[in-house]
Amino acid sequence: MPGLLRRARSVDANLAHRLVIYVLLAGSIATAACVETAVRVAPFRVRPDAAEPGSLQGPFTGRVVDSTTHAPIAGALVYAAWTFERGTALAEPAGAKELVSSTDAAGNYTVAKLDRLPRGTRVTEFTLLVYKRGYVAYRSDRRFTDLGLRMDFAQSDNQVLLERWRNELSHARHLRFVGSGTAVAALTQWELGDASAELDGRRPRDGDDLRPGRGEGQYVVAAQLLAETDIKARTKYDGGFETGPLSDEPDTAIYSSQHFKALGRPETWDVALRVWRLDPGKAQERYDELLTQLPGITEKDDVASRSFIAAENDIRGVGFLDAPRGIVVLLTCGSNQCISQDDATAMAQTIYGRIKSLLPTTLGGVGK
Amino acid sequence: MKRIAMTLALALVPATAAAWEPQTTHAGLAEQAAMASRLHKRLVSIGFSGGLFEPLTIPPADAPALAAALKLLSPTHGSVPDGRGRQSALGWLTAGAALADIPASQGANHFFDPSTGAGWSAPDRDLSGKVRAVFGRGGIPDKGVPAPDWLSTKTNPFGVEQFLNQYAKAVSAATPGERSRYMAAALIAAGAMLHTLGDLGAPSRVRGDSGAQLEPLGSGNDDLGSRFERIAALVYGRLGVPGPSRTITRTHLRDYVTSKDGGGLADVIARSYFSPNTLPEPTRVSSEVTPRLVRPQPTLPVRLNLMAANRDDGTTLRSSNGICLARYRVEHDVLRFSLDDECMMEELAQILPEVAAYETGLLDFLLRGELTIAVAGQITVSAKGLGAGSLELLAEDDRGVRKSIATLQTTTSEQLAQVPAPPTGTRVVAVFRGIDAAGEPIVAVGAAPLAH
Repeated sequence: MPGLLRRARSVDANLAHRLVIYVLLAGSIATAACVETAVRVAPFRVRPDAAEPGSLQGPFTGRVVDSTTHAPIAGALVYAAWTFERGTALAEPAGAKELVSSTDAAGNYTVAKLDRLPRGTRVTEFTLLVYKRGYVAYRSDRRFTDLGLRMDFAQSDNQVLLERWRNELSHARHLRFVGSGTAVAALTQWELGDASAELDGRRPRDGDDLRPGRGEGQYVVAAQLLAETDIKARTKYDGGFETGPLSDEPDTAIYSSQHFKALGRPETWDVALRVWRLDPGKAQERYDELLTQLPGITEKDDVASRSFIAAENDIRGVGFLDAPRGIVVLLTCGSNQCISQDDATAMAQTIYGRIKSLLPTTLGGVGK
Repeated sequence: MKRIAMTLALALVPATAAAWEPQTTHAGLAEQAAMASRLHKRLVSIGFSGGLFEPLTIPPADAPALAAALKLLSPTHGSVPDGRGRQSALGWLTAGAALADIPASQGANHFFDPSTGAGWSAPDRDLSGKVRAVFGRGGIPDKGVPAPDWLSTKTNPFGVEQFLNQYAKAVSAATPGERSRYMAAALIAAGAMLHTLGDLGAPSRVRGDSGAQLEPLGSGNDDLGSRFERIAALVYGRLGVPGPSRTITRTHLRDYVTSKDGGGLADVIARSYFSPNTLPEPTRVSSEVTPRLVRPQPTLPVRLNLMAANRDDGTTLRSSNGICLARYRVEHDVLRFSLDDECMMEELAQILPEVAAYETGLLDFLLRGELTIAVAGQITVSAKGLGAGSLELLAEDDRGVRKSIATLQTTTSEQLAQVPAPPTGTRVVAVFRGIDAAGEPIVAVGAAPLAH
């Protein structure tokens, strides 16, 4: 086996590195025998300064800052996913639960505790991914620089240092690194062309547009604008949602959607959000199209630049135009979830507030 | 101390793994193989201009069973399409690598013992009563199809026949949407084949050691699996899986698994490493100590270091290139061999690049068929190394729609066809389906621009 012979040299160094990994794991797993078997023991600490392992179930908190300036980063995408498995010995993947949110103005994030597991499964992993255009993504399990095991992630009070993107970095590696969560993929799909160019040996396009807050269009996705907790806070709904993009139209650079499908309930309990990010002129056109296409329209103009309410059978709708940012939003809500039109309008106000927070007009690319 | 810490960690990590873990190790191996192979260039050449990062779509309504299986995967590992069934070509390949273990019983077809030609056989010995009680005998198949047969059997939904069928359609189908769907399906089959081959990098799978797959790993009674393969997942995950040491080239598909020259992955791993239940047998120490080997290879040195073996922590049996093969120790005058976690980690650092090398080679093998098309009044199609088959030429218009312009049977000559160029169109593409010079099924493809 000549190939093996050639690779013998690095064994000692590799082994030493990995032993360090296992020393950490040992410290965090020592109490494993006491935990319920449906949730594996977390390979991360409960807090940065603690020796005890955290919980895969969460909740998770932390702060995202620029690695150079240590300034907080607002509006970064926070993507969390729990991985499930089932079976004995010949085990198989059993799905995942995703949550999407954003950092607040101080760069803080919170991921709520995983409240329920699919029947007959166990939680095998929790992965947190933080991304903002112009920066290298952060994963809770691996480092981008060398793809080595991340040792410093903590369940609470975690600090995420986002490194600014540099032109010499590989988009192909970065796309592998971020994985395929829908919200993440929507935010990073602009890298596909550059990644492909790298593999062709062509030079990716100039990197100036990668600076924080600059670039092509408003990189915000629907999942960042409305969370389960926002809905429940307004409607007092106590059930669960399955979340993900709507199936009628795929997410693109200018369109994004999020469907809150009420578990075990008819669609009159569902909420759906559609967001278009366009230049201001086209946003106006899109808004006008909605006015002509939707039933039961009444113009209200009480959210953002212009707004309307709509109604058809058991569905209530609110649409608005944020003209300076070129954003059009359409929220639809079933009549069991939104008992009154005010519920839908209140959620639209929440969405607009979040847009203003994520895309302040002082940053480039806004209010052209 | 370090060894204790590591052992404790692994002893207490609740885990279940029946193979290299599908979403971490297998996905990582497939990604490495894709990046090192000719896949990107091949995709570009047949019209998927983004290559590995070309978005390809399988609408969920077209393949509901597939869509349901994909929902079982975790998006963080890069192989879950969006709601419309769209992800990159690389994502579809890694999805195939992960889907090969769904349903879990498919994993029984990822074993092969080159010394007997047998695949998985459910263990009925070397199991503790506790494990047997938990596991029973009804949860897994008694037998599996040997891995090299599984790659080409018609009952494998992700075998070579499926790959070639989808791959050919990915070139010959009329519309870009259809071609996208077929290419994604071909990549799923390719990824699953990489998985089947890659599993044979685990020594227990090629040494008839099915008991090693049922080691209790965690605190729960149902936490059973291969410790070796679990360590790989813990240390490397998906993103940390090393790249290939080289690219393995073989003439026949089966040769990637096993061949007469002993160069298949199963052959190499089986003779180079021990597995937990195929270690040299315990031997009472006397004037001459020659432990009995369960398998002829790996061999033992003429003289074992019994002085070192008498120490509390024993000593290490190493291969000629210094890799830990086992620990051995004399206790109560009996020489015993064992495999600990550090030893397995050393082995993994050697084995995974080799597995990636074989997977890269397999991917290149699947995509090896290449047609050369010259356009000058006539369209001339030629190729090397092909046997008999059928050739179809298609003209693509400016909407990306392809229409057949000629279909003909070919023999073994290098020039396969010469036909008049179509009056309109932007590109001509050709697909050959048949066998290669070695008698292996093959699809060969090519494309060239049409100048009008």
